[in-house]
Parts: sequence; structure tokens; C-alpha cells
Amino acid sequence: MKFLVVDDSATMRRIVINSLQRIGVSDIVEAADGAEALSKFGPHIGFVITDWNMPNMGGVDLARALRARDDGKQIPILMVTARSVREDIITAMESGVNNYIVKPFTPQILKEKIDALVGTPVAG
Amino acid sequence: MTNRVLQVLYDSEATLRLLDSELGELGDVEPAPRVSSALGALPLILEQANKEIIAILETLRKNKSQLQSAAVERLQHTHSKLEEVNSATESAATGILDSLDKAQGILDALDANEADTTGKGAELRDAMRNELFSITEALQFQDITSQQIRYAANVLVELEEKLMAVLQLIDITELDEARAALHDSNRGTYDPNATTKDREVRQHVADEIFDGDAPPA
Repeated sequence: MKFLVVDDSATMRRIVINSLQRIGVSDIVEAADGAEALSKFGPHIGFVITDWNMPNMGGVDLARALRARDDGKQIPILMVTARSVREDIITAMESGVNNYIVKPFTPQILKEKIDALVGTPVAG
Repeated sequence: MTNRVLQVLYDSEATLRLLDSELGELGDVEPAPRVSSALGALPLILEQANKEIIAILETLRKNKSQLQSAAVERLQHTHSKLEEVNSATESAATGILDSLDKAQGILDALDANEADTTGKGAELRDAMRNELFSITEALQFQDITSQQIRYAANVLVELEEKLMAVLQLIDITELDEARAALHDSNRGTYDPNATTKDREVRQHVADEIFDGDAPPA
């Protein structure tokens, strides 16, 4: 399964990617914002991990855009963000995000959320 | 602004003089003494008011340079310093991640060269790998603190805009360059509530909502 990791912070992209590699995921594409993510999205992508606050297009708008596409309706979307106000979390859920991780996160919680969304444990 | 005030005062005084002259020409129609006296004193009052307004404007003009210094120089300097901090921490985090990748590579190479994959050596290498990964995790602070800094920088930009609005009331010249610099500043995206504290508590709120343990309130 190919993962699409979307975050405007290069540091955070590397941390998320390192965490994914640590739990056995190695097929990863990265994007610096929602607009770039949309341009890289397609049937080959099986899972999206996105930040919220990004220039050009944020994570909530990305989720809405993906849900509006035929090939994006069923894609699991996991949001990893520093935003943790209840109203924000509800907004994310209503935009089509399937689950939510608050930064700073641990690889364990990343694995738990991914496993729960794909239905089977990812490698590692 | 001073010229406009002077023009208004001049016009008012001219009108009053004309009125005074017209009243004088009426001859037998004597204005009430109180009205005549008040009208006569008006030019002096207006002249005094004019002097006061000019003095106030002069004071504002003198203070303008101090306000401008605060708005344009100090705030922009502080803003650029904050940007510098963000840039430096991101650069440092990238450097640390590079070194961690190299260290992981060395451990992988040691694994490949060691015949013993289950003994004490392997155990120590795994422990070292875990420690290295803990450092990677800890580097998330950079993303969160950079959002906090962007928030603070944005507050400075808003303050700068308000000060410039005040300056514009005094004198609209000499601000174009500063205004251009203000709009050129990169505000970036951020969460004003970003924090490294209470991760478990905040994650629990998200889990409640997404797992349906509690209805969204």
C-alpha cells in the first residue's frame, strides 16, 4: 500500500516517514501542501496522512477535495496536526477525515490508527 | 492636514468679517449687544483655536518619528528575528535528522557485519536504535514551536498595521516603503493554540470524537 504524506514542514514529513518506516511501511510519496497532494493523488495511493495548517491548501480542504473525487471517496485519511480544539477536531471529521492524531505523536499511536483504518495490522 | 485646518479657519474668519460688515451697513438695525460682542470675539477665538491645533499637530509630527521608528524599524526587526529563529531551528532539526539517519545506517551496517544477531551486541544495537528514534520523535518540537513563533510574529504584524494606521492619520507620506515591507512579510500558516503540552489529554479528546465515545459537543 502506498502512503501519501502531506505536511508543509520538511522536518515533520521526515519524522512521519521515519515513523512509517519504523513500523514497516516503505512505499511513501510526499507532498508539501494539499494542492501538491492532489496533483500526486491517484488510484495508486492507498492511504493519506495529512497535516492541517499548510499554505495553498490545508488538510481540511484536501480531505473535502479527495471526498469529492470518485477515486478519493474511500481512501483512508489520517490527520496529524497540532490543532486540538474540540471544534477543530469536529471540523476535520466533518470534512471527511477518518481519524486524528495530535502532535507530538508516537510511532505506536500512528500504528494503532493506521491498523484501525486499514482493518489489518500494517507490517512491523 | 495643517493646510486644510488653516483654510477652514481662514474661510470662517472671512465669513465672519463679511457678516460683521453686512450688519454694520444695515445702519439703524442694531444687532443685540451680546451677539455683536460674541461675533466680534469669534475671530480671536478662532485664531487661538488655530494656534492650539497647530501646536497639537506639531507635537504629533514630532512624535511621529518615534512612532514610525517603533512601527517600522523595531517591529519589523523583531519580526525578522523571529523568522530567523524559525529558520535556524528548522535547519538544526534537518541537521540532526541527517545525523540520525547516518547513525541508523551505521547500526544497520554493524548488524550486517555481526554474526551474533541475538546476543548482547544485537540487544545493545536495538537499544541504540530505539534511543536514536526517540530523538527523531522529540524533533517534533520544531514544528510546534515554529507555529507558536509564527503566531507571535503575526501578532507583531497586526500591531504594526495598527500603528501605521495611526501614522497615516498624522501624515500619509513616507509610509509606502514600510507598508510594502509589511505586506511582503511571510506570515506562514500556524495554529495559535499549538503546544507540546498535555499530548495525552488532547489525543483523548480526538479519540472521544472519532471513536464515538462521546457525542461532539
